[in-house]
Amino acid sequence: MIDSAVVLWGIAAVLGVLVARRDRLQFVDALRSATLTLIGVLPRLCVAMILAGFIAKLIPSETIGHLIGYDSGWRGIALATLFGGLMPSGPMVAFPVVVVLRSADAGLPQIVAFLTAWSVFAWHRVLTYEVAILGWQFVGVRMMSSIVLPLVASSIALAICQVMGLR
Amino acid sequence: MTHPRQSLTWREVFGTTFWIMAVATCIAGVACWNVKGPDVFRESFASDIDLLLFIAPRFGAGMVIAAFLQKLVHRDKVARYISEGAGIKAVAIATVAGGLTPGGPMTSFPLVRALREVGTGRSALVAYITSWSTMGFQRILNWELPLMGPDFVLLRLASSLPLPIIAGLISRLLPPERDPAQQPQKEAAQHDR
Repeated sequence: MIDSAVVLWGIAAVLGVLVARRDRLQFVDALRSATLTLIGVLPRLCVAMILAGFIAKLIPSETIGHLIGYDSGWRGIALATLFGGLMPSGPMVAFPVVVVLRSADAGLPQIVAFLTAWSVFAWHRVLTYEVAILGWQFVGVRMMSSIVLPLVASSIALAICQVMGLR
Repeated sequence: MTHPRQSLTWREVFGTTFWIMAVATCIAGVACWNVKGPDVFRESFASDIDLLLFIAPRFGAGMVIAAFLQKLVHRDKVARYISEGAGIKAVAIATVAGGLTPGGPMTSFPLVRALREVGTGRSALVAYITSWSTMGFQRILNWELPLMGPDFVLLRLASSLPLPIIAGLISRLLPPERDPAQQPQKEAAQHDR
């Protein structure tokens, strides 16, 4: 089993060569932008992970497992969809939360429901960008078109989990 | 956060979000210490650091890959592909394009607006946003892969593949937008219906 970090850095190296062969300046520019983004995100990511860790200790994992564990089925999927749709944050909070939920026995289909609802409804993103740039009417249509999506995604995830024996 | 960066200020790194989260962390930490005891507090801290050390090299690689891809994939090309398609074909192209568009919301929403202005149908726009938000490569590389691992990413991607098409098709059943300012041009209505 090759370490996933090695694979990722391998991909990064190949892409880096492609960019550098086109334009050296673009290569330097990309590395600079990646470093700055990393520095910009890291403090918030660290704090979010420590926070998520404490909250996980405070909420017993049996409770999380009971609410959105694999065996919670459709009720858990509905609950996870609701939680995900209400998450008022970007990825630097949402993903540490998911890591904690997973380590506290949340089921895979339920996590898929959570992430899908968070991705499509993301109301922090909707309010900051989407409404301002595209207008309420369009956003309304998109939201209505997306209501069933967490359910669809988690149904497929549930079917895959059953076939593959995952939980 | 995810658009190409040229500069970074302290205010951006340690802005309001950081302090709100820092205060919440202190409160949760004190609560954890009092309710569960110092041992659980230390254990929680130690496992956070383990996780961070595991994630850091993958996280860094994800950021670098995303930055290089931003240089290789051009937004204008993506826009041209979507606006050229029509009907269900446009929805399918928009789905692929959404997953491939680099950048965060501040680059992709202006792109959607530009597409609407050149007459792209609503269902393709809805499919594009759905695809970008559920399967955008940048978020997967930066966050999901390092934190959740490749197996989970594959499961979630497999589960999300039909979503943009479904959302695009549902949006066709909804009544058209009324405000003429919001209405796509006539050509778009033909694409859609």
